[in-house]
Amino acid sequence: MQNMHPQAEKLLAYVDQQLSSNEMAEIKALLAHDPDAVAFVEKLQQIELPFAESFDFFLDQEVPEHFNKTKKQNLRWQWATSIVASLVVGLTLGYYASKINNEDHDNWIVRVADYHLLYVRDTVIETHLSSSEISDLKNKLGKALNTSLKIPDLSAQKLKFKRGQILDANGKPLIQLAYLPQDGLPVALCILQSNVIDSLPKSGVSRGLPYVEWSKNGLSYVIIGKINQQQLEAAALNAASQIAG
Amino acid sequence: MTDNTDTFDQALIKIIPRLRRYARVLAITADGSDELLQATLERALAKKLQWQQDTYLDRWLFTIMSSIWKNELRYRNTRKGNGVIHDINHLCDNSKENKPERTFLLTQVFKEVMLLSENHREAILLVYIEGIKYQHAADILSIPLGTLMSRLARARIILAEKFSETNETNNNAVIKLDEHRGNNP
Repeated sequence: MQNMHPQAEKLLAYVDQQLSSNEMAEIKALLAHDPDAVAFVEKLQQIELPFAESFDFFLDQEVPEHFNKTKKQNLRWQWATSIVASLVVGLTLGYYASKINNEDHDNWIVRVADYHLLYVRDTVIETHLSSSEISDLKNKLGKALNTSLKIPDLSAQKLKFKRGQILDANGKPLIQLAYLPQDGLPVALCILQSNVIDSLPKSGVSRGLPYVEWSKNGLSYVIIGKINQQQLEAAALNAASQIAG
Repeated sequence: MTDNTDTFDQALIKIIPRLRRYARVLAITADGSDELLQATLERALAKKLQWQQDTYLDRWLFTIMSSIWKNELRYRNTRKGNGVIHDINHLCDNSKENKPERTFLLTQVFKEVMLLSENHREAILLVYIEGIKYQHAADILSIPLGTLMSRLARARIILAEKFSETNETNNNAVIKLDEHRGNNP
C-alpha cells in the first residue's frame, strides 16, 4: 500500500476542496516541489467513488414499524425503568414502607382528578393576575410547600397561567396551578410534598382525565386536563425541565 | 406542530432511516444494527429536553449512537461474532443489487466500504455519505480533527488501490467512473 504522506490530512482537504485560500496556496507550493505529495494527490484523485449513491438504498428500505412506535412506547419504557428503580431502592430501604407510601401517593391523583372534574372554562377565565400578584402568590405557595416554588411558563404549549391555590390532601398542602388553553377546559399542575422516590414522567388516566405524573426531590407532580396527549406530555416535560432548572 | 416536543418527534422520525444506515455501518449485521438503533432512539427520547432546537438533531443523534456503540454495545456485538465479516455477500442481503438500477459499481463500492475497518467506514459514512464537515464529524466521534482526516485519507487510499486493482484485473467490468463523477462531495 502507498505510504501516507506526512501532509496527508491537508492533501486530502485539498482534494476535497475544503481548504481556505491561504491553505490552498500552501499546498500548491508544496505540490510544486514535492513529488511524493503529487503522487499522493494523484492517488486520491485517481478514482472518485459514488459513496453516497452506493449507500442510498438504505434510505429506501422500509423502517420496521416498531421503531416509529418507539416514541409512543417511550413513556411506558421510562415508567418501566422507574418501576425497576423503585423496586431496587424499595428492597434496600424497606419495601413495605414504600408500598404503603405509594398507595397514598396514587390516591392523591384520584383526588386531584375528582376536583379537576368540577372545573369549567369559566372557573378561571376571568382571573387576571398582575406580575406582582403572581410574585406574591409564588411566595405564598412556596411557603406552604416549604420550598422555593417556580410557576412554570407553559406558553410553548399554549397554556396560560391563570391562578394558584392551596388545597389539602390528607393533612398535607397540595398546590394547584391552573392553566387555560386557547380552547377547551383548564389544565392543572398539582404539587404535593411526598416521600416517594424520584420517578420519570409516566402517563395515565384517572376519572377519564389524562395526566402525566412524576416525582423529584421530595415533591410529587401531576399535570392533568382534557387536552391531547402529546400536548399534555410536552407540557409535563416543559414543566419538569423548568422546575429542575 | 407547535412545540419543541412535537418538532423533536417529527424530526426524529424523519432521521430514523439515516440512523439505521449509520447503525448498519457500525454493527454490520441487521440484528446488531437494530439493537443499536433501538438503544439510540430510547436514549434520545429520554434526553430530548437536552436537545436545543437551534442545533442539528442529526449530529446530536449520531453522537449518541456513536457513544452507545463504543461504550456499550460493540463489545457484546463482537462477542456474538458479529464484529468480523466472514462472508462479504451477506452484507448486501437487503440491497437492490439484483435490480437493474443498482449498478455493479454501486454494489462494489458498498462492499468495499463495508470491508474497511470500523474507524475507516464510519469516517467515510459521516463525511462522504452524510456530507458532514470534517470538524463536525470529528466532534461526533469525539476524536481530534487530525485523527479523522488521517482515517479518511487512509480509507481513500485503500479504496483507490482496491479499485485500481479491479480496473487492472477486470477490464470487462469497465467501471464507468466518469459517469459517476460529480456525485462525490
